[in-house]
Amino acid sequence: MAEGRAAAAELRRDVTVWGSYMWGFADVGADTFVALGLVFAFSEGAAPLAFLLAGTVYILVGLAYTELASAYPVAGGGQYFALRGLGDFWSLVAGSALVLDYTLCTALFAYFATTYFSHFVPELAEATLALGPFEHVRIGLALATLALIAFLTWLNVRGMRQASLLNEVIGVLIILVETLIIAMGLIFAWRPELLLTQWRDTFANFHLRQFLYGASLAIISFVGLESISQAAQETRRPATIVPRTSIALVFTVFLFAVSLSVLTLGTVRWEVFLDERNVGRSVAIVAGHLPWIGRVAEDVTAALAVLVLMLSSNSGVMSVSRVAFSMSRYDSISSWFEHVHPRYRTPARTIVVFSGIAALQVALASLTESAIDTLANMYAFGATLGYTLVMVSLIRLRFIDPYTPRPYRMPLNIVIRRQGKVIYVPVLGIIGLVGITTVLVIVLFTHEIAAVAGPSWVFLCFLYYAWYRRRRGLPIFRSVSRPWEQEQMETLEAAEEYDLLEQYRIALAERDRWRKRFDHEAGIILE
Amino acid sequence: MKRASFWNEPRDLRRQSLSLWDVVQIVYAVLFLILGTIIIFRMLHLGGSLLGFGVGGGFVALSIFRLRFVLRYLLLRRREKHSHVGR
Repeated sequence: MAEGRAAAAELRRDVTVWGSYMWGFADVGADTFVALGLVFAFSEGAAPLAFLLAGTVYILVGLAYTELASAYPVAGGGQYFALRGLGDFWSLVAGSALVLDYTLCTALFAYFATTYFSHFVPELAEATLALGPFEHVRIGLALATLALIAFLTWLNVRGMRQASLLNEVIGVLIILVETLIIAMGLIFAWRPELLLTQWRDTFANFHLRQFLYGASLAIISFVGLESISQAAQETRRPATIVPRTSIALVFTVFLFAVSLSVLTLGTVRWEVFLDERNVGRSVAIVAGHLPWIGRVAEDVTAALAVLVLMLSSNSGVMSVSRVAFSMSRYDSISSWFEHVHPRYRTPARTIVVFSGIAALQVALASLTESAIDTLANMYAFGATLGYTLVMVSLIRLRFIDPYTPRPYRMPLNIVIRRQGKVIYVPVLGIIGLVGITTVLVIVLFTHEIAAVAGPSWVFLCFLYYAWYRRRRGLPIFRSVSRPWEQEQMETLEAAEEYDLLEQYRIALAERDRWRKRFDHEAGIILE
Repeated sequence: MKRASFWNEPRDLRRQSLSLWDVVQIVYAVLFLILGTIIIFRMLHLGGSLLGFGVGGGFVALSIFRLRFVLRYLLLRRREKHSHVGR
């Protein structure tokens, strides 16, 4: 046990607020490059409103992640929160949604890296092939994406991890380029009359279903909050670092997404994004409208996007192994996935299996009318399902585990006292739950592919889970009893959060004292 | 232990000078103020619209909100400068 704790402590590093912020931003910051054109293609001139609505829900989910990641600083993220709050079965559901999202993250971002690359090699996007009933398979993009996934798999199996310095450099570059595009664009290229015309035209002929579809796709510009948990797992004193980092991250990404959509609406006709080739390089197209430096800005943005999207795709490969490890540790999937390669010391099996699934997703999506739309469709399903369960877990954990100290607590709470416990009922958490559940319902009603393929994936994962648990003699729908209090203390100790550890011990002692008194009084009454 | 604030503002301004992180926040807040003002003025020229005021006003409001801590910091520094206690 002591060795395990020491190993856990060794994983933790002195990550600064800035380093931790950049870690998240290198992951989440790339989402706008993917979502912008897609949302415009469906929500038309109402795209900023779509970003605003999705962004508001995302802020609430982001604050929930901040609270949970600083209270439970472990890498499992949503899967672990669902395990603590809702039990083994729902943890499997959340885990399967996250695994789906990470594989899709690898697939979608690799696909977009190649579409942005096609800015320099247009032949890549133009190469199509007829494969039986599938008439317009974009074979160039599909093969390039598959090659990129194979390359990333090889890199990860060999154990070449992204250095945090690289994350910081890339994060700074994205921030600078996006700031430059937004500032220069709004000052010199933005035409308010174009914005108003497009806005009014859209609402004069408003298609609610299409708008809702776009709004639910806008949620993908905010996916990647799991990186908060991963940063929390590897940071010393996460209670100090994580809240500042993640709140800044949540608001920056929101501001960039909304600002960029407002800029786009006043700079480019939304119809430009009806062409899939333009959807795949949307931010570069907006940058191309900047005065004086437009041509250079377009090329620089496209080149940066390729790099950023490759890193994001790579983060999908890395992150899925963390979730798989957590699922395996808590008996959701076989320990086969925990195997470490004897030579490279990497979770090679997990990397190969889930990268294979990502490659399969690219191959299947390429057979559909729009590979980008299909992948994004599914991505939105996985994210909203996972986030919904995280919001439910947040609320439930406030009731069943009020003892764990929360260095950050979502604002706006109703304080109630129950059985000697002080419980903070999260009003914003409940609003966030309603919001994210609404988005999930919209996804299920408007995304034709995700409505079938998403639940089918979760069901397949459940079948595997049921088979595995039965074979191990574990309950399928009930939870296995675990020493959570002991584990929480070990986690806080490994994180060097001694103040929190002390607070936790005091809270548990008070609870025990209260229980003893209650039992004693109940005994007297019975006598 | 201090709980982090909702808006992620530095809590104890007396103990610390502005960090690089704070400077970045100030620069961004000023930038938002400029952009927000430009958006509002350009929208006013077109006769105004709710969307324009919403976006521009949002930028300005956020910027002012974020710049509150700079004002607090400057006031504190000024008070310290004029104070003779402890000299």
